Amino acid sequence: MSELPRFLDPHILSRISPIDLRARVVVEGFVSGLHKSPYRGFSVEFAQYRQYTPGDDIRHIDWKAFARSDRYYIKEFEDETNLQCFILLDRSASMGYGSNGLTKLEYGSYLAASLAYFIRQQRDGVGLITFDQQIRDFLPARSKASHVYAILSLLDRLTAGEETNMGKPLHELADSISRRGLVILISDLIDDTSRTMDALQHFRFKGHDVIVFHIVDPDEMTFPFTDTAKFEDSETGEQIMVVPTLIRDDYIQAVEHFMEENRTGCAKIQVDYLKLDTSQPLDFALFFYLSKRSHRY
Amino acid sequence: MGLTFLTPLFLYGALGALVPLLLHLIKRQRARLHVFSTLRFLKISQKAVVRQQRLRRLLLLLLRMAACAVLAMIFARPFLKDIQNAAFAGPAPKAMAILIDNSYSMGFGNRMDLAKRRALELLGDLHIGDQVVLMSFSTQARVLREIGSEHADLAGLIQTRIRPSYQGTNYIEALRSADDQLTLSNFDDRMIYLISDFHQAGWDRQATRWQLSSDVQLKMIDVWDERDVNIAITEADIPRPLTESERTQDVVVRVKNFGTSPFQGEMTLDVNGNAAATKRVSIPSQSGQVVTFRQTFRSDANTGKITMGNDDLPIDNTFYFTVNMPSPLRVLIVEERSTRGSRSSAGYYLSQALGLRQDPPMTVDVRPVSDLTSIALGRYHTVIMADVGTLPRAAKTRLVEYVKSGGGIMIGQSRSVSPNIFNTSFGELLPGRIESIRPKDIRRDQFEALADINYQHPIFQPFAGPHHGDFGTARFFKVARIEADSASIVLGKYDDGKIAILEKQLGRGRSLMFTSTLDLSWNDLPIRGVFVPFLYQSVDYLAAQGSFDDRRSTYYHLVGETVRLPDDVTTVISPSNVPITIERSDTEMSLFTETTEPGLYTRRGAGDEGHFAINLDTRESDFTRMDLEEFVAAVINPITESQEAQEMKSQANQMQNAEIERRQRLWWYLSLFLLAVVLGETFLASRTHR
Repeated sequence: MSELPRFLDPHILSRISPIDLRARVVVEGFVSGLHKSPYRGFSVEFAQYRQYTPGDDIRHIDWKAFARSDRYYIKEFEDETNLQCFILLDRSASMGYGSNGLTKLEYGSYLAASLAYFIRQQRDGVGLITFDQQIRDFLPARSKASHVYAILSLLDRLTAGEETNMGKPLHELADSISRRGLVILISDLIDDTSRTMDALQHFRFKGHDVIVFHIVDPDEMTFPFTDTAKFEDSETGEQIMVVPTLIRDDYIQAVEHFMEENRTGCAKIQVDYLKLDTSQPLDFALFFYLSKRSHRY
Repeated sequence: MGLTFLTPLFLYGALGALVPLLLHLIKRQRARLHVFSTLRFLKISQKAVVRQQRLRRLLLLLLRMAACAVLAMIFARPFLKDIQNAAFAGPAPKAMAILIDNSYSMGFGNRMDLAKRRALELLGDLHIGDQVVLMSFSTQARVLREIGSEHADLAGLIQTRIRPSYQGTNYIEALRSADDQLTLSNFDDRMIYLISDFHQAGWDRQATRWQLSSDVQLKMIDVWDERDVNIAITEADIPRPLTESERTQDVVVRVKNFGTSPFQGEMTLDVNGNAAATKRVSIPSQSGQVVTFRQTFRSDANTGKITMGNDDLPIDNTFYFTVNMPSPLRVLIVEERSTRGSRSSAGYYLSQALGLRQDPPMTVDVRPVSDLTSIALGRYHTVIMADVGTLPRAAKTRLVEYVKSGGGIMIGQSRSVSPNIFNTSFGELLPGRIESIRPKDIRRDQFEALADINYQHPIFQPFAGPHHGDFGTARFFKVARIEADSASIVLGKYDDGKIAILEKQLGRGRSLMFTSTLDLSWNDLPIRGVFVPFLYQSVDYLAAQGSFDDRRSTYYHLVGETVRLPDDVTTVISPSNVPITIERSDTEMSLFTETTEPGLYTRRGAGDEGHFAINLDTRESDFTRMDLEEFVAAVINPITESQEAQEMKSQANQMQNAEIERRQRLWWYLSLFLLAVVLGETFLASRTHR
C-alpha cells in the first residue's frame, strides 16, 4: 500500500509509455487500493455474496438469504448501468504550460486515459472530445474495449492547440449529445467564467451530469518566480514585464478568486468540481469520480 | 559669474556616472522570458506596478548617476567665481580700461572734446558689475580711478580731470599700465579702450617688444581729424658766447609745418622781455625752414622767447631759452712741494693740459700741500693731488670738509709714496687703501696696460666708440696695489686684474683715485692722446658734483626733464606763476622735477635769482599717422604669454581660486547633497525589486 502513491505520481507516470500502460497502472493500482473502499461493486449485475459487517448499508442485505440461512449477506453486483460518459479535454494553448516537466495537457491526458480505462472497466460507454476554441477531435461514447484503445491512441498524440474559447465548443457539444449521460470536463478553465458556467449549465439543462476537473499547475497557484522577467501569454503571445515579488500576493489572490468563482459557479448549477494540480496523484481524481458516480448511478 | 573648479581633473570621474547607465542597459538586455499559461491574473496589478517600478528604476538610475557625478564634483572642489555679482542678470561682466590720450597734440582742434564724448559713450554701454579703470596718458599713464565696479563718478572725472597736457605720447607705457591694472580683475573678459589721435611719435617700434597679456583685448578709438595747419618751432640753436667778443651770436631757429596747408606768418624773437627782431616766414606744407636772427646778448644772464603766428595748436609755436655767459672752471693742483713750474713735475703736465680748455675755460692754480690750510678751497670746482705722498692733518681735515660739501678731488700717486703713511694721512679721502707698490724698481720692458675699463661711466663714455681713444697704448711701469673700500666703484683695471682707477662718494662730493702717477715717472699716459680728454672728463665729472653754476647750465630743457638747481634755491616760480617750494638737503643735490609746462621758470635763493627754460618735446607736433594695423599686430599677444608668466599667472589664479573656494566651501553642500542622494538611493533601492 505504501508504494501505491509512487506508481500513481503523475511525474513518474509520465516516464511510462505508452499511454494505455500508464492508464492501466493508474487504474489497477487504484482498484487494488479499493479493497477497503465502501464504493466498490455496487452495480446492477450480481457478482457475489458477502457477509454483512456493521456499517454496510442495510438496503443491500439479501433478506431471502437471511431467511434461508439466518445470516446477513450483502449482495454485490457488477455494472450494468449502460452509462454514457463523455470526457471533454481542453487542449488549448494554455494547457500546454507546465512546470517540472509535466504540462497540464499531459496531466489531463493521463487523467482522461485513466478515466476512460476505468469507465470501460465498469462496462460504461466512454467517448472523448478535445477542443480549444472549437471542437478538434470527437470520439463518440462506446463501451467496447477497442474503443478505449482508440481514445488512448488519440490522447497519446495530443498536442496543445490554440486560444481557449470554452463557450462555443461546449455549447455545440451540449447540442449534439442527445442521450443523457456523464460529462467530464478536464480543463484549466482559462476563459471567462460566466461563459464557462453558461456552457456547463447548457449540459445540465440537457440532463447531463457534469464533473469538472480543473487542472492547474503548481506554479500557477504559487507563482514562485523571483526575478523580474518578461512573461508571454501562451495563447495570445502577448508579453509584459513582471516583478514577481511585488505582484505575487495580488496574483495569488486573483487566482484564488478565480478558483472560488469557478467552484461556486459549479456548485450553483450542481456541477461537481475538483481542482487538481499536476503534482497531485491521479487516483485522487478517480476517487472523486467514483464517489460522484456512486451517488448518482 | 561661473562655476569653476579648483581641481578640474577630477571631473573626469564624472564619467563614472555612465557606469550605472551601462549596468542598467546591460541588465536590461538580460531580462528572461517566461512563457506562461495566461497573463490574465498578472495584468490585474502588474500595469501599475511596472509603471511604478519603471519610474523607480529610472529614478534609481538617475540617483546613482547623480551620486557618481556629485562625488566627482566634490573632489573637483567647485566654487563660484565673482560671487558678488552672481545676483545680477545680463551679460557676463567685463573689465575695461579706458585710456584717454591727453598729450598736447590732443589740444589740436576739437580732438579732446571728441575723445571725451567717445569715453562717455563707452560708459553708456556699461552693465552693473562691469569693472572700469579710468586713465589718462601722455608720456606717462595716470590712473584717475582705480579699477572698480562703481561707475557713478566716471563721467565727472572725464569732464573735469582730463585736459591736454604739455607732454608727448607713449602708447606702450600707457598700455603697460592699463594691462597691469586689468590684472587686478578676476574677469575673463578684459578690454582696453585706447582713445587717441594715434600719431607716429607716440610709438617707438624699435624700443620694445612688449605685448599685452594674452587675454587682454585692445580696441582703438580714433579721434583723428583732417590736418589743416600746424607749425611748430622744433629747435633753436644758440652758440654759447664764451668771451666778451662773442656776445653777438646767430640764433638759428628751425620751424616746421606739419599741416596740409602752407603757412605764412611772422616769427618774433624776444630777449629779456623785449622784442628783439621779427621775420616773415613762409613754409609749405609738410616741410621745414631755418630762420636766423643775429642777436647780441648784452647781459651775462639772458632769457629769450621765439614766437610764431597762431594755428589750431598754438602751444608749440613758442620756444623759450636762456643764454648765460660761462664762468671758468677753477682747478687746484696740489703738489708735495712747490716745483715752480718744473717740467718734470706732475703739476706741470696737468696745468698745461687743463689750461688749454676753452669751453668752458679753466683757471688752474698749482700750489704746494702746505698752502692747503690757508687757501679758500671753496673757490675751486676740483682739487687734483698730483704728487702728494703725505697730507698734514689740518689739510686733510679741510679737504674732507671740502669734498663732503660737494667738491671733487682727484688723487694721483706720489713718486715717493709710502703706503702706510699715504693711507694714514689721506684717510677717508681714499676710495681704497694702498697695500704695496709694485715693482720696486722700474724696468721699461715690464709694464701693465689698462685693459678693463667701465665705458658706461661718465668719465669714459666719450671713449666708448671705436677710434675714440685707446687707453691700451699707455704703459704703466709702476703702480700701487689697492684694496678697494666696500663703498668704492672700480672704473678701470690693469691687464693683470688689479685696480687702476676707482672712486667713491663722500658726502655730496666724490673722490677719484688713480693708482699710478699723473706724470711720466711711473707711466707714459701723459704723452698719450687720451690723457687730455681723460683729464677734462675727470675734472668735469668731479666739478659736476659741486655747487650749481647756471652759467654752465643748458639753455633749455624739455617738459618732464629734471633740472638741477643751485643749493641755495628755496622757491621756483612756474610760468603760470605758481610758487613751488624746494626742500633742501645737506647731502643731496637740489633737483627740480615739476617741469610740467613750457615757459620760463624763475628760481629764487639767498639774494639771488635766475631762470631756466622749459620747452615742449615737439616730436608730438608731428601728426604723421601711426600704422594702426601694424601697431595692433605688435602689441596684441597672438599666441600665449611666456611660459614663466603663464606659470606665475596660473599659480596666482590657483591661489586666488583656492582662497575663493575655501571661503565658499560648496563641496560641503555637495557632500550633504550626496548624502541625501545616497540615502534616497538606499531607500528607493529597498523598494525596487530586481
